[in-house]
Amino acid sequence: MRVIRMLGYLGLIIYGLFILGPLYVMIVTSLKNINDVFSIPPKLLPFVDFQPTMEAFEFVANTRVLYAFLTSLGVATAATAIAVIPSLLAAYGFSRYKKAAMNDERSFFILLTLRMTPPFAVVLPIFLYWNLFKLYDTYFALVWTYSVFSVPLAVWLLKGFMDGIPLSIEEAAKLDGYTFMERLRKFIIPVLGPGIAATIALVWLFLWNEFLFALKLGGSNVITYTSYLPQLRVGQRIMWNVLGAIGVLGAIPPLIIFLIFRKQIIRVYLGR
Amino acid sequence: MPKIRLVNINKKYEGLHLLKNVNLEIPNNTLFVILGPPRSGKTALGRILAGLELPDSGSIFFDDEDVTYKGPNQRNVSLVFQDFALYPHLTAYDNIASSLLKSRLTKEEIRKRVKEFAEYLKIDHRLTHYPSELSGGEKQRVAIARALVRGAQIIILDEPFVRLDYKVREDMRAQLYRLHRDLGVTVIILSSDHMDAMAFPDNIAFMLEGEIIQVGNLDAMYEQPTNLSIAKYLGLVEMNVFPAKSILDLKGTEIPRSLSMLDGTMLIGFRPEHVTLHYENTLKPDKIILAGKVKITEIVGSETIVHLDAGLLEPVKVLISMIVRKTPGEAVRVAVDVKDIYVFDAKGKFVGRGGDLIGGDIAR
Repeated sequence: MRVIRMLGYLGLIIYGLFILGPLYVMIVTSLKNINDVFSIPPKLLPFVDFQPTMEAFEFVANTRVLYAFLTSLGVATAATAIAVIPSLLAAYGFSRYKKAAMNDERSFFILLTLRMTPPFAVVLPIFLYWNLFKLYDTYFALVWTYSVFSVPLAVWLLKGFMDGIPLSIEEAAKLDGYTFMERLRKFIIPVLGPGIAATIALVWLFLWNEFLFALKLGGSNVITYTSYLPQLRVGQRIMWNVLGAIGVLGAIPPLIIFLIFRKQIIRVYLGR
Repeated sequence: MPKIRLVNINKKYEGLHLLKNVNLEIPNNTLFVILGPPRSGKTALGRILAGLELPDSGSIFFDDEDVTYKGPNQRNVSLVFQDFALYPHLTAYDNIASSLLKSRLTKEEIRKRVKEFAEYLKIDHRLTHYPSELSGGEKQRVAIARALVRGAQIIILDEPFVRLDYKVREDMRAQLYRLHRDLGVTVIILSSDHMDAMAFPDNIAFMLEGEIIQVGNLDAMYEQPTNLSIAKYLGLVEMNVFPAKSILDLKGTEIPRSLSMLDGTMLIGFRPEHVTLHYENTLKPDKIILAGKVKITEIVGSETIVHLDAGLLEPVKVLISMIVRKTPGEAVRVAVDVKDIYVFDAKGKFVGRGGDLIGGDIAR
């Protein structure tokens, strides 16, 4: 057993290096000036190989990146907020009205396919729609698209949590004289609390990192930080140190979310 | 505490006929046990009584008032769920107070009422704790307090003891009895455990496959069961049942003359506790004497169950109320009084007791 345990740890360490290696390179790169970035062999140790500088971060401060960050933050938050409420009701329906006419595996599957479709397959038609309605490159278009595409994930997660709440709790509330909306507000939502938190966190993280829709449905007006990245080049040179700096900044909000909702998110992945 | 009357209740669910024309009267202020094996429709009946579900047809009367279509909070009924269904995000106090928050009582009155019931059920020292911090028995008591606090006159408990340890069960049974006696509430226990019937033997309804097949007290059910299933269900060890023919045809066994009058298709049942070891070699006109070899001996507490291979379809179970060590293979003779046997027809319907045979009431 001890050998298996050791092998397990070894595997985890190798996996960790795979994940942390690029992160390290990103952080180190953000601290270099542009000449150090392109040196061969690569300089990897700050203070030893090269003198760290905040140049890249200063550059970032003078671009529209702050604006792009705020856009990302606003769009992701708004879309999550809009998506969660109908998802909650849908999840309640899927979980509680198992015998309802339309509630079978098929309708749940159809809902999930929305998530499983490769975004590439639908991004152009959606772009054309928004263009038709003269809403291309508006916040409304991006937020709305994000919400629609978040609903399946949110319903799926919330239904799982809802299934974990015994029906008898709701019936006890019924016996105590609470109406449907009161039961939802006073009993279901509080008991579901950690599940809702985890759902919000995961949906928000997906939207924060979303790239394709942001690139295609936004233009000069709506720029998220992900769609801003490819624009960062001076002449033929890609400014890797600036990209690194934006990457570092972009990793901060998810990191905060993970730290706050760590327990709940782990529960989602372990299926508990 | 109204008298409850169920009239022709029918309920189907997913193609299953859960309740078939159930008629039942529960007198006011009783402690009533609805006994039956799992899936016999007890829970469905309890839920309809509590108003959580509507029957497909039939009516429910409390005294003379038709409450069939009244919501759960409009009738004076409360249900304690098998899993207790405590609100996990609320403390014991808030759990108990939840129904009072919907009433017009002031905060102070609510506090007084919750305290009163908590003290009565001996959970007043646990009120600030969350359900996850309470033991099974404490959860049960919080659930009961929650059901009673809004003034329910009828309280239904669905399998109240299965989630509790054996020691706690006895305590809870005593609590329920006290509650019924002191507060005068009608307590209805839905149970699949015949121990509950033994604890509350006065008013029992036996359910089987969606039908109520016998109502009465435990003695009547034990002595005069209407059905083979009840006879098998009530008893520490399940009744021995054999086709009459297989007993009559046994070789080397003395069969009283009165028995030989029986139709061969009928079923003869006798309880393991009525079988005694028989050492004499004399004939007894009023006893069935079976000879056979011991298969297994189980010692349960201070009692012994001997499984005897007497040449019948199944071993004969013998319950002896002391510890007797019988080795497998040992030859043993056992006797059953004719007056102790139960006679059923081929479908399991009760025909009569062995005593009736002697009088000649059950003939071919």
